[in-house]
Amino acid sequence: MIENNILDVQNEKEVVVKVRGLCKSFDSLQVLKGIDIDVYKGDVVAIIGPSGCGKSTFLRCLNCLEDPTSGNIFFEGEDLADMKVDINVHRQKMGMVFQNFNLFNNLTVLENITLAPVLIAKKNIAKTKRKNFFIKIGNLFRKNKKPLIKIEQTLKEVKENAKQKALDLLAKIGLEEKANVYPSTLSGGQKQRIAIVRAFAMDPKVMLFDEPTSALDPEMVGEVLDLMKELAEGGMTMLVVTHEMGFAKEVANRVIFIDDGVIKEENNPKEFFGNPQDERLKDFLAKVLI
Amino acid sequence: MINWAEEWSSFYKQFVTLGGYKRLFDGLIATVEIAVFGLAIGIIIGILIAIVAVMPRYKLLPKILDKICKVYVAIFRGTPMVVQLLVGHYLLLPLLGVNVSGVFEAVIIFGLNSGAYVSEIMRSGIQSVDAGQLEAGRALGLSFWSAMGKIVIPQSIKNILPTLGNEFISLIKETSVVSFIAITDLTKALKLIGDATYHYFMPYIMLALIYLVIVLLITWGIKVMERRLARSDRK
Amino acid sequence: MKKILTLLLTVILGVACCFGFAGCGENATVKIGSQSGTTGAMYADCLKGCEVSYYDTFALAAQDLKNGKVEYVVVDGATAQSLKNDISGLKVIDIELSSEYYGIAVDKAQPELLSSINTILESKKAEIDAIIEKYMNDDEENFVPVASAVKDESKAATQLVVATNAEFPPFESISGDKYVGIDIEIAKIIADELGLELVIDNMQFDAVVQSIGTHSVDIGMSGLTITAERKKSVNFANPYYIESQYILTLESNTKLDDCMTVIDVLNVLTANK
Repeated sequence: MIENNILDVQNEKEVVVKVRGLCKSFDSLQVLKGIDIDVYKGDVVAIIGPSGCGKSTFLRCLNCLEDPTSGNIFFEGEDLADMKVDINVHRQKMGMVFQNFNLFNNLTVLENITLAPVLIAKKNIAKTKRKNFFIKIGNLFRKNKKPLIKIEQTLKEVKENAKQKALDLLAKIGLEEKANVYPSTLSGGQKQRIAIVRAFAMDPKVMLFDEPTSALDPEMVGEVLDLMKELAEGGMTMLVVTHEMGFAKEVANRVIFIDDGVIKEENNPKEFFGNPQDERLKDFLAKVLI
Repeated sequence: MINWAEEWSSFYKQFVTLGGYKRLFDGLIATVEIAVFGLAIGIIIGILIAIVAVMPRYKLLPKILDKICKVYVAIFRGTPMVVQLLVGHYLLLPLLGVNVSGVFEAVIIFGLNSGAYVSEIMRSGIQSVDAGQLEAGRALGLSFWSAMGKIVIPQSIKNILPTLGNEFISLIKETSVVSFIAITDLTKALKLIGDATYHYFMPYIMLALIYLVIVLLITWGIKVMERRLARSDRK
Repeated sequence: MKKILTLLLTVILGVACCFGFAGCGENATVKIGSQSGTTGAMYADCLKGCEVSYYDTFALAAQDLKNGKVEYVVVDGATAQSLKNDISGLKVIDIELSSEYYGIAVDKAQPELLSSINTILESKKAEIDAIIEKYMNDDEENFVPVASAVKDESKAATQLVVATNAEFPPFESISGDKYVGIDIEIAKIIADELGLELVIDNMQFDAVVQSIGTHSVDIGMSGLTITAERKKSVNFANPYYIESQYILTLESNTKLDDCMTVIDVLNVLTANK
C-alpha cells in the first residue's frame, strides 16, 4: 500500500496522520467534500474557517466521533475510516480537547485524569491473563512449552503510576491542590487546562483541539493558550480548530483555511496571514482581523 | 358507633394471644421482599433497556434489540399489574410447567413490570446527561459500555434518584395486589386477622400505619442517598 | 458509594435467586388452598405445619390445584362436587372433615326481618328442599336464573338487598347477566313472600358478613356457615342446609386414598410436623 507509507521521503519527517478524500454527509447535507492532508510529527496545524464550514466536523472525523462517509484516515498504519478497526485503541493515542471541556462531573479532577489509563490497563491485563490461561491449557498438550505473556505492570502499579503522573502534570499547571475536588468547583480556564492534561496523560501521538477557548471568559483564554503553547514547544503534534488568530500566527507552523467542506488554502502563518491568495480567505481575514 | 373496647379486645386477642403477629410479620416480609427484589430486577432491566435505547444504531443488532425492548415496554406499561400477575400465574407458569414459590413468582413479575417503568426513567436520566460526557469518554479510548458504566450512568442515577424513589414507593404500595395470586402479603395478613373476628377497625388502621412508616423510611433513605451523591455538585 | 450500591444490588439479587431455588425445593410442607374468609380456610388454617394460600374464589384455588401450586383444597361439599364436575382431573376425598349449618345472615338492626324470614323458611320448607334437590342433582334444565333490581337508597323500604359472593356454585353463581343457585332462588322466594324487590349485591366473600354488620345490606346468603364469630356481627336465621368440608385434590394424588376417618386425613396432612 503506497499511500500508507509512514515516512514521507521528500521531507524525511514522520507522517502522523494522513487524510485522503475525507467526505462526511449528514443525511442529504454534505459537510466535508474531500479533504486531503498530511500531518507530520511535531506539526501544529491551526484550522480556521467561517462557522459551519465543517472544520469541527473534520476534527471529529479524525478520531471517528463522527464516522466518515468516505475517504481514508491513516493513523499508526491503519485506516480509521475502516469500520473493522478497533477505534478505541487508536483513540487512546489521539487526545481530544473539547469546546465545553467535558470533564466528567461525577469524578474528582484526579479521577478524571486517571480513569482512562487505569481502565484501559485493567482491560489489557485482563486480556493478557485470559490469553495466558489459554496458553497454559495449550501447554498441557504441547511438547515445546509456549512462554506466557509477561504482565509488565500489576494493576496496583498502574494505578500508582497513573496517579503520580496525574499529580505531576497538575503540579506543572499549578493545580495540584485541586486534585481532589469535583469539576463543578473550577473556573472555565482551570477546567480546560485539566481537560488538556487529561488528554495529555494518555501519551497521545497527536492532540485534537476543538475550539478550546471559545467557551471561556476572555480573561481565561490566556492561561489555556499558554498551556497549549507549552505543549507545542514540547514537540506535541497538534491540530487546533480555533478562532484565536494570534495563536495561529504565533504558535502554529501551518495554517489551513477550510470553507465549503474543502481546504481552500494552506500555508505557513506568515504567508497565510500576510499574503492570502483565496478570495474567500481574504474576505474572512478582513472580517476577523479588525 | 364504634365500640372501641370491643374492637381493641378482639384485635388484641387475635394479634397477640392467638399469634396473629406472626402472620403480620410474614406478610410484611413478603411485601418488602417483593418490592425490594422486584425493584432490583427492575433497575437492571431498566438500565439495559435504556442503554439499548441510546445505543448508536449502525449495526443490525441494536436495531433488533431496540424493537424487542419497545414491545416489552409497551406490553408491561400497557396492562395493569393485576392482569400481569393473573396471566403470569394462571397462564404462563402452567404453560411453562415450572413450579416456583409464589413470592418468587411475584418478584419476577414485579421486576418485569418495574423494569418497563424504570427503563423510561433511566432513558430520560441518560439523556439528561450532556452528550459531551459520553463523547469525552469515547475520545479517551473507552468502550461504549465502559464510558456508559463509569461516566454516564452514575451521573444519570443522581438525576433520577427521586423518580426512582417514587417508583419504589409505588411498588411497595402496589404489592397489595399479590393477594390475587394467593400470596399473603401485608395487606392480606391484616385482612385475615380482621376476617377472623369481623372487626376490621384495628387491623386496617394498623395496615395504613405500617405502609406509612415504610414509605416514610424510604423517603428518608432516598434523601440521605441524594445528599451523598450530591457531593460532586457542592460548591 | 457506587461500590456500596453495586454490592447491595448483588446481594439482593443473590438472595432473590436463593429464595427462588428454595421455593422450588420447598416440597416438604403441605400446601393447602382455600377461599379466604370461608370455613374451609379457617379449617386449613388450623392444620399445623401446612402452608395455606388464600384465594379470592374456590375456582382459582382449584385452578392452582390443577397447576400443581397447591396439593389440596379444603372446600364445602357441594362446591367440591361442582368443581370436580367442571375441572377434569380432580377428585373429592369422601371424608367429612366437619359438619356445619348454613344459615341466612340478617342485619342485627332488623329483628322483625329475622323472624319473618324464619317464618317463611318454615312455611316454604317443601319448596326450598325441592330447590336444593334439583341443584344437588345438577338438574340444569330446571335452574331458574334470577335478575337483580338496581340498588336504590331512596327505595330502601321496598327493596330486599342480599349480599352474596356469586362464585360458589351450586349455591350462587353468575349466569349471563342473571344469578342462579340455591341461595338465589331461596332469596327470590323470601323477597316475593315479603313483597319486596330483590336486589342481589355481588361482592367479595369476606365482605358479605362485614357489610351486614355495617347495615349496608339487609341479609347475606352466600353459603354462610353459622359460626360464633359471625354471630357477633350478624343474626342468623334457622339453618336451611347441612354441609361438610371436604378435601379436593388431583386424581393422581393417592396419599389420602387409604384414609378412613378424619383423624387419618389429619395424620397425613400434618405428618411432616
